[in-house]
Amino acid sequence: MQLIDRVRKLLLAGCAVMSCMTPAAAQVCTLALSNGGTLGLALDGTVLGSEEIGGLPAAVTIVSVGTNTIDIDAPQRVSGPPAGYNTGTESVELAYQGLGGLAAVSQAYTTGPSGFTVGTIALSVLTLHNRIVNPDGFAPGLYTTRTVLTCS
Amino acid sequence: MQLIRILILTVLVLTALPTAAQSLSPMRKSGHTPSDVKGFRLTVGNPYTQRMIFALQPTEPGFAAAAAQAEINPAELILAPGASRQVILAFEIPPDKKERTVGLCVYPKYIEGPVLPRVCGTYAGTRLHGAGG
Repeated sequence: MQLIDRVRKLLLAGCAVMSCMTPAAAQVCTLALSNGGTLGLALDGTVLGSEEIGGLPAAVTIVSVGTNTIDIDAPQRVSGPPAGYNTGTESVELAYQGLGGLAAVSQAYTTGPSGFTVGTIALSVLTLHNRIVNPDGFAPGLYTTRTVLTCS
Repeated sequence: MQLIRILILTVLVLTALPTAAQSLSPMRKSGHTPSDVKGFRLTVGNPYTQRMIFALQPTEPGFAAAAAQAEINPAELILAPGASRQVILAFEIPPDKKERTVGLCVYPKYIEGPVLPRVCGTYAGTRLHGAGG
């Protein structure tokens, strides 16, 4: 807390450390994860995805004031591989589609990072689909994916 | 089919999560400092309908790595629905630099599932005098 204490002391001493900041244009980003998402298994056993039976997409609501950037990291499987699972043939993929003020946003399934710029929009929804594709199938166990979505 | 049923049961673990939301304002800001430390007062909000715990992390500008010589107070926030709170971000400007930019990311502390939402801002401090390189 040394730095915080120093800033507070400067402030108490009448220094303009805080007040000499240049006023910034109003810029706000609000993210809300309204549904975390669920993966379901495809009938042929080669895809675990939110578009399969029993799966649900994740939904993030976004409110933006000013110009902000949404960066979506490459999706990853964060759970350890169950015994007998062949990680060498898997592909972790993400796709998304916007609604409302994000209606123009669309990304087909990708394994890499992606993103887009957003201006001032009212509450809008970004629906994200995750899937793990593995032609060798899935051993019984836990499969969890993770994607970091950053508004900056 | 039996194996598929077992698999479905075992993999349907990414269940729907409680809503998680955060906001950070302002998202970008810059200012001067007469010393080698720069501070910013920022506001973190929970605009939605349930109590949330947020973690705050000073980062390098790309938001990937934690920032050295940077502090946030508090580093963790419990916010009621609709509540907001001011936090202080402070960081050192190295002696050989005239300015420094750091990031600050806010994200729900306890969240599982496929998406980690975070809001990150960028903040720049410039020395008024005695700038280094």
